Amino acid sequence: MKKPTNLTILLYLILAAFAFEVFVLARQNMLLKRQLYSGLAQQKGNDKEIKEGMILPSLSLKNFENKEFTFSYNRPGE
Amino acid sequence: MKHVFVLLVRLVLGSSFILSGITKILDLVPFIQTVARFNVLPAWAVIPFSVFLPPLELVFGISLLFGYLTRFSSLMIACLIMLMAVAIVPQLLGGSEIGDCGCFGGLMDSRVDINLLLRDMLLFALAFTIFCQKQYIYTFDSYLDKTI
Repeated sequence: MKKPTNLTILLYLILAAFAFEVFVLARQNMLLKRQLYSGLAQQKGNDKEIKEGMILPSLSLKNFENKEFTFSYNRPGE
Repeated sequence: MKHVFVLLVRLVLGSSFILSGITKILDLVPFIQTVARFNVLPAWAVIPFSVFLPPLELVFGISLLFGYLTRFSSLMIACLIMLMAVAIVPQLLGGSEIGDCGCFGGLMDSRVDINLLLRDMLLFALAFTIFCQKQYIYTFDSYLDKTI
């Protein structure tokens, strides 16, 4: 097997560092989403699992069709 | 004695760059905001620069700490320090209030002032000292030379 050059090894190291960065970003993103969804679930006052794409369901386009616009916001605890 | 001093400098500089790289990676969004506040890069270059810099700091810090491609790593670290110093100078001359320099992410706050520039100059001198040496002790390079 051909011995890798110093430059190749350095490039591998840089790639590994980038992979670490992407992993950290993805993890932070996942934690943020989880926080957001759990906060929304709490706000709705039920234990239903809120799936991705269902943020503020009352504001989705489907709800506007042939319906009057109603939007209410209750602060948690009210 | 000189070799021991260079070894110590290598350890200090390498570990500080590893710390700086890791903290920036862990706090990437605030670092991007800090780079944007510096206002020395065009808008399209802010995110690529902020994303590319921390892994480079981490890799060159590791390679300097372990003594892999020691001369090259010290040169690259000197270039990175010079880059940061070049970004700081216009802020000092213009008297703009940037606040935190973002050097160590959220780990510690260091304001953009003359002390920061002096610290960068000191680090540059240390990196250049390593670069100017002909021989190093306790390096991965010397281990490779012995084994191969």
